[in-house]
Amino acid sequence: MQIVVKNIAKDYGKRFNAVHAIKDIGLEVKHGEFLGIMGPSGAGKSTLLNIISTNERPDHGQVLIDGIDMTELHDKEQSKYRRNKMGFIYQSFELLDSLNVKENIILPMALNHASKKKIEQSFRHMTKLLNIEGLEKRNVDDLSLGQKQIVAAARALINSPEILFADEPTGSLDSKSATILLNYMQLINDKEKTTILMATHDAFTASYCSRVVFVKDGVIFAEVVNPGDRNKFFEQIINMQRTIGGGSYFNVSQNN
Amino acid sequence: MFLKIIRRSFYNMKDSYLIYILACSFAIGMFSILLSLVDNPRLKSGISSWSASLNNVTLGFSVLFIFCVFVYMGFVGGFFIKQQTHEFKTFEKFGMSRWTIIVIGFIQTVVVQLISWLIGIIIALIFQKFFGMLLLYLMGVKTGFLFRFTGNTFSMLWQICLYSTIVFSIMNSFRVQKLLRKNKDKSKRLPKWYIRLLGGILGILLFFSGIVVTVILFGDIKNNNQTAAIVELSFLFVAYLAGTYLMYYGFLPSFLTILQHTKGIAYTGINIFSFKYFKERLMRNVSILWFITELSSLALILLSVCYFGYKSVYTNYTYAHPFELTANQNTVKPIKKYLKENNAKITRSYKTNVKTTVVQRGSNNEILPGTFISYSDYQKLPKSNVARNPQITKNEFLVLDYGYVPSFASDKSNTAVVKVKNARIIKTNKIGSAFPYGSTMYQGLMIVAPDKYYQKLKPEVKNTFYGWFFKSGDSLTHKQYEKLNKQEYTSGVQIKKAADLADTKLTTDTNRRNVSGTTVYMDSNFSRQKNAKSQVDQISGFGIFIVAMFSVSLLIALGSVLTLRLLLRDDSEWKQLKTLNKIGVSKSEIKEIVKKETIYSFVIPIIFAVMQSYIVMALIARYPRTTMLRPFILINLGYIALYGIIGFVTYLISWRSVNQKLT
Ligand SMILES: Nc1ncnc2c1ncn2[C@@H]1O[C@H](COP(=O)(O)OP(=O)(O)OP(=O)(O)O)[C@@H](O)[C@H]1O
Ligand SMILES: [Mg+2]
Repeated sequence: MQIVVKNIAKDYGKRFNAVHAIKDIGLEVKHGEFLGIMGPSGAGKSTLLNIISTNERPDHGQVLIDGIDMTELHDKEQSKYRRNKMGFIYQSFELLDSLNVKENIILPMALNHASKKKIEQSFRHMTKLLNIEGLEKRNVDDLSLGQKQIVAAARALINSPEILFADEPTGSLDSKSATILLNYMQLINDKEKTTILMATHDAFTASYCSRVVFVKDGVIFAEVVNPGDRNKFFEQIINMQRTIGGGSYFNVSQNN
Repeated sequence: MFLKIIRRSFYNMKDSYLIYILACSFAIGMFSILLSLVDNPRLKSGISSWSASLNNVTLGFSVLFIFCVFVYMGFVGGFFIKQQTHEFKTFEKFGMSRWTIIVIGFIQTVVVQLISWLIGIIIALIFQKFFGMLLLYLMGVKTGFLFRFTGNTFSMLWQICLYSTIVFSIMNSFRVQKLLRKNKDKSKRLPKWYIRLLGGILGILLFFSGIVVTVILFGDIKNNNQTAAIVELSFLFVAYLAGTYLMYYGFLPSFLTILQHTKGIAYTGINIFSFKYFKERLMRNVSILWFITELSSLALILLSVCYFGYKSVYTNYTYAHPFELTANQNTVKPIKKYLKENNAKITRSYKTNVKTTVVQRGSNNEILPGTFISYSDYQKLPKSNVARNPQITKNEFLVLDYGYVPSFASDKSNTAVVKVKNARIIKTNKIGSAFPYGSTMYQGLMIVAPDKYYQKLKPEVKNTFYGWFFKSGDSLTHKQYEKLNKQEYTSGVQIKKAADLADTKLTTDTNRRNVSGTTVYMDSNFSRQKNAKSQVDQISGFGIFIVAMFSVSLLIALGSVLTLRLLLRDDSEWKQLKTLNKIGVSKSEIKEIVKKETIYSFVIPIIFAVMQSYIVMALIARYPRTTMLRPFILINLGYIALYGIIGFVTYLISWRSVNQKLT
């Protein structure tokens, strides 16, 4: 999946107290790329991801995915596209608290009318991989934040999407879970050529990407490409963060 | 800050508030109109019975009406407070004092109540004339209606408004306080599923045994088996009330649980979510669905019973008053004189000779006067007067007997056996109750006999009946009428019983002498039947007006309760619908969920309500089924249609609000 974002802009609110969440962003993501999006809080990372994933319509500009202009599609076609090709890990998890953990995870597959057997199989695989086998009957309301995040990740990944949108996917995870998740993302990125767009504050998390763009005040401010060495890349990211401001200066997982 | 919070809460729930305010102001409008009609001068002058009784009846109904409205307000007003639980609790966490929050709840209620009253009174001002005219039209009174709102009515309305507003606002303040005091233990302590299942099975058993008992009730009412019928009705009362509740409480959720665990169904598409979602919403709304089911069936039963009651009264009156004016030989002279004096325009006039003798009827051998008409005289009577009687040929007898109203007869093969003094015994299965000159003109039986039989019959007393139709009323003046009235019950017959029918004597009686051993039957010697009929028309018109008003209001109340329940989703439910959309469930699928939910919530109650209302058919089992089934079905269909419109509107509003949140 190749993604081309052309000159998008998005305002929130009414004329006088409008927030320019995104002023003018152009971006190109190659097929199978693992793109990181960084920037201080309120920079517009989530908004950018939402626009690319067709959850929101931009005020201006185009989003082309494999040459199709997503902004021109009707709601129904957009939903279909989201359901079939995309996976989402939202910053606020967006789990359905009517459903238990298992039902939440298999929801995308059920929506696609996958066979019962296949659903069970993928579910076993996913829970084993992400180490959440004991949770399946639990109520999502009762989970810890980190558990919720892992469940959200499982839901995003179970359908093997072609594009994965991950908004702060490791924000609430302990370093071990975070590493498991990130490794898995890297794996599908390598093996299945899944295109991944990930917003994060965390330099360590960002260091898994092949490229990181920095957003500030609704525009792309800078860009760092992974030189092939993760530690070096990590350093570069930290430096860039210092110049922009925001983000974590003292990263706890530097020992990696 | 204060006002901002209140304004925001109004804005967030604007659809729901709008519906509530409209429903309330409709009810208040109706109430104000009823109240203002009580002392309307035009009604007083146009309708003779208005000052005498109808105004007090109207007042009584308006009190009943406002009582129901208060119950509605008290119940539904709490929805809005409950809806804000989360917000109120957050305010408290932020350090807002409990008092402040209570005052917020208080002010919200005051504002909503005052707006409702204001709009309601405006509605009353606008529509009073319309409803007044409707009332006069239904009552068949041909005078114009005069718009009138007295200061008295206004001050009464204002006081009721003030006090009720204060009471409801305080009630809601208590609600807020209770809500804040509740400990945070929000874990829904749902009873175990098998308790629900057991309850559900019991509910289904009760409900269906209710249906079986209704069928049994049919037979018992038909056979006039009163004690059994009362027992069955009490059973039905309990079985339907409890059965429906248990069914909603236990069976429907269990059913959805089963669906939800049936992987073949649940794992396909959106079902995985919707069954659980429906179940959660259903469980929260069990008592409301129940309430609506029972009230709907009550409304259906009341409407049908009112209709059948009205119809039987009306039929009786047409039996009793077929002519515009009737007389017999005692009153014909003055009446003819008056008619001539007044230049009354007679369109048709009739005259029939009759012979009266003693007869003995039925299994209990009751002795009565029997008045005979010959077949050929009977044929000359206006067809409309006797159309309801069975057809006879010239050699057949027809017995007209008040106790045998044909629609009450359970089977038509009943034969009347009448012994006649000094004549052949009569056996016939032709029984009717449409007395050709109206049933008040003579006592006892009336028998249409073949000409030969009639000629041979030796009467104890002879009489002649007269009947007229006019072009524009009988034009009797008040004075003439008073004079005639004095003669009304001055003559008749008396029977002196003896051991043998042949020795029993029947003689003319003009003094109401009640000599021992005799029975006196006084006739009304004339009858202004048109007048009596128009009074019945007035009362039934009034009845229709009140019943229609009550049932429309009830329907609106029920509909709005359901609509509000469907509209008021709490935050988590909103979020879930939004989330579904985010992960790729299209809007049309979410629309489908909203649609299904609306359909379930509206269709389930009405189905069970209609099933319950079938009791009516048992209650009137003594009427022939064919004549009653159609109006019953029509009443049901009419109700369902109105109810369905409300359901459809609810769906539109509900989807609109969901759609707004999604974009
Ligand atoms: N629905 C909305 N309505 C109004 N303003 C919004 C909305 N969503 C986002 N914004 C505003 O747009 C700007 C960008 O928000 P966005 O969520 O994209 O930031 P972010 O980079 O994801 O921040 P964070 O790192 O905290 O997640 C912010 O100023 C935010 O307040
Ligand atoms: Mg964000």
